[in-house]
Amino acid sequence: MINVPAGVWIDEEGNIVRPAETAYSKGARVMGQKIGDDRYAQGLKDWVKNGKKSKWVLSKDKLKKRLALKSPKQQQAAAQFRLGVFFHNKKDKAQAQKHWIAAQKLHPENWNYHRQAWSYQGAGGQMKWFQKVQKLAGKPYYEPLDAPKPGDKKEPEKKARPKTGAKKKRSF
Amino acid sequence: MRGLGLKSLAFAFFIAASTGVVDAATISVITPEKTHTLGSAFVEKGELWIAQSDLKKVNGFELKPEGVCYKSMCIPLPKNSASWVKKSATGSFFNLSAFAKKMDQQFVTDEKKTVFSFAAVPDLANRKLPSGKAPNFKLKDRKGKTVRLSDFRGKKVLLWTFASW
Repeated sequence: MINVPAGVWIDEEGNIVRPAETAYSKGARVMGQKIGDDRYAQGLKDWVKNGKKSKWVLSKDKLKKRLALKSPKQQQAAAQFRLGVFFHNKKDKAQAQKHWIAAQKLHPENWNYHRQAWSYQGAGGQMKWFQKVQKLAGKPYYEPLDAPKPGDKKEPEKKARPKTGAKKKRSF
Repeated sequence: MRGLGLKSLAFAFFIAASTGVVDAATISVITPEKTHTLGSAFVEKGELWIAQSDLKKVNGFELKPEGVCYKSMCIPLPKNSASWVKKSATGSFFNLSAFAKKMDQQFVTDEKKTVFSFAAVPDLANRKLPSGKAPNFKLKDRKGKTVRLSDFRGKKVLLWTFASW
């Protein structure tokens, strides 16, 4: 999740319908950046009314893609970030800062890591983050909303191949 | 007597340093789910060895005759099994670093090698993907009562994070 508001949709059986995404109720412009999307609230209402039949329910393929593990470098970044949080909780500011910076370098596209700079850079942290945002030069800060287009039909689910029963073996 | 104690400690540290063993009082292992403080772990030549009895709580795997297993998925021990498992007077130990490398599991450590932070085991994370099941997390509400996601089974849930500004 980058910043707030962010939302995750979960159905009656505990399945993720839409993973974390920016969840403003309407679109706006803040500091030159477009944030939010008027369609989000409409989509939410559509899902509440229509459930699994809603076009806003992501297909299994799309869901799998969005929930997929990140690249090895991005995973290292996440591990570095957690290390930073560990030292922050131990009140070791120097070590926390070191590992948060490492996370930023490993995964420079992750704004959560850059926003963490606010906590260790003091008063200048927000300004440094804002300078990084300005370098986007119009590219989106948040992922654009993956909304169905008018006229889109609900994507049929691909039928899964039956399992053969053979166990996957790993060998050296 | 006090001087003798200090000399013994210095000698022990010298031996430890020369053999590349970091015998920290405690070693912490961070996973995406939890942080574990392990009293029996040690680092040797940069590799993290944990008590075999801690393996399951750290990553869900356990040692069985078939190998290192998570439910029905088993990874055979290497031919040189001593590189993964060793016994000493203090117990049986498992090389978590070597296992992570075999599983393409990313991990990082602090410079003193007393804290190891692991990413998810790719094979396990990928097994969970098809279901898209949300983890049954729990949080306390404003009255201090523990609330779980499963408390809302049968209803649609919007998990929404926000702030007051």
